[in-house]
Amino acid sequence: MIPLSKQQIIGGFNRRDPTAREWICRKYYAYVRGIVEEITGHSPETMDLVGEVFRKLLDNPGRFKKLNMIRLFLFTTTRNICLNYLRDKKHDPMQIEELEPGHPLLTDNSMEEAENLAAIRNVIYCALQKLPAQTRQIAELGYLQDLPNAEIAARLGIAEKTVGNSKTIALKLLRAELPEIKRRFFLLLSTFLP
Amino acid sequence: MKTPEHIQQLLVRHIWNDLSAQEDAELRAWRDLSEANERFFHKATDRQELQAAVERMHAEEDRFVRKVLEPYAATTGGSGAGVLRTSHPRSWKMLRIAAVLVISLGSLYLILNIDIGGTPHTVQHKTNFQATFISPEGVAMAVEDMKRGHADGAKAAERWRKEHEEPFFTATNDPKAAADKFSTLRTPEGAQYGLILPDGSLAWLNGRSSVKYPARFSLDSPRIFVSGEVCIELTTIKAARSPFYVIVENMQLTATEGRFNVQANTADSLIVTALEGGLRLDTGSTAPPILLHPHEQLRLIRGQLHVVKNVDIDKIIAWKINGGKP
Repeated sequence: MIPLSKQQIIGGFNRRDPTAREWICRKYYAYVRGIVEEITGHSPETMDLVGEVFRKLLDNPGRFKKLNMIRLFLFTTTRNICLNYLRDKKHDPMQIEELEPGHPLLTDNSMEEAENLAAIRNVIYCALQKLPAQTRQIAELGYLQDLPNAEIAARLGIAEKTVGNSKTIALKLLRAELPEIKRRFFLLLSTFLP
Repeated sequence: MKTPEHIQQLLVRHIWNDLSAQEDAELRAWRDLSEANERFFHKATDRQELQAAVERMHAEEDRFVRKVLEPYAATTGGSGAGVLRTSHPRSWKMLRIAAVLVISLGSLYLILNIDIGGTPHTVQHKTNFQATFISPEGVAMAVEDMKRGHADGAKAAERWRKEHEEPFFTATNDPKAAADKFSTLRTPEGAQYGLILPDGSLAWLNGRSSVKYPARFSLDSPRIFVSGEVCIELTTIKAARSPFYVIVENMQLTATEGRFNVQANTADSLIVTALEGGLRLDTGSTAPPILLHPHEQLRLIRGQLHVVKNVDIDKIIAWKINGGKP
């Protein structure tokens, strides 16, 4: 993603600037999709629901003064759209029955767990997305598939030192993404507290 | 289930094999607290599932972003309140044809009516989007070449091409730069370009104009130097509404919000028009500052100051073509 300051992103979003809009869509795409997948159990209509969430955001330029407010809006909208979707699944009467008040999906805890998981995955996804193709491949093989450096080097036909360097770059990017979790936490805390 | 942000960070770093022994013990203690914690740990750190999720999302991201942004492409950067939808393709096609006709007729009108309301504004013909960036080290580069030069792979090339179609240059802020280091964006004759400043404000440059800004851009007291003709729209973010200083020749303009047009084509001629919001002009002498309200214009021609009221704003910014949005 193009490096932009928070002011540039918010100002651009309010002006309906395409670069700022794309930046926001890419930044929160994995986050929103992760929540939808978790709550709807990987529904085949996942992408439609994710699209609906972002359309609601894009239809509301000018109302956000901070980036965190966009994230909060996305979380709340995702939650509501998913619950509406589950409630409206008329072909599955059990689903309607199960979603009466008191159903685990309607509690903050389940929702929070889905959000926590999506946030963790989003941090990793965003760090990986910032990497050049080969470095990304090395990071995935090393960290997600847990392969040793020598095996990665042999598989890709590169020096073992290159593998080590690439993993170091990936680690630095991941560490840079970590504060996102902290900022998100305080925001969510304010929504769950009475 | 409450998962403190610190534990979440530990979970991410656990996946990346980045935990110290002490942090590992801390995570273990948290897992031992409850079955729910242990269950969440396994779910969050399931590398196979994570890899599948990353691949799934990566494979569809570009297509998804394109699809979701497509209906909004027509309204990007506009200042109108409504958002056009493409739910009626036929009407949309008609609208596009109408827009092309309006733009063509408008351009023809501008070409045939160079003198706009008797003001000394120059209307640029055959406007194109070109600009030169001059780095703090004094290296001059064509903005288009910069964009092309940074392209890395097909995806990045596509991104830069898209950005090139939107003629904006995004200024970066280097917090470590020395206070006397400045960057400059300059346009040649007949060109226009938009400069998005680090505080979110937008400066739209007419031909033969330049905006010089500090490499270490202060968000508390933003300051830019202007020559030629520039339309400035200050950021809409409340938190960033510090006094914004525009220095033209030996005068200083101060504004906190709104839009204004500055025209300083020669050393002894300055025309400042308040489009939205008020602004203050300090002439640098012992004279009191001059306050300008919307629709008011200050003209300084050969040392003589005149304030003109009820100015037709549309004529003032007629030089901006469709790229100069909003």
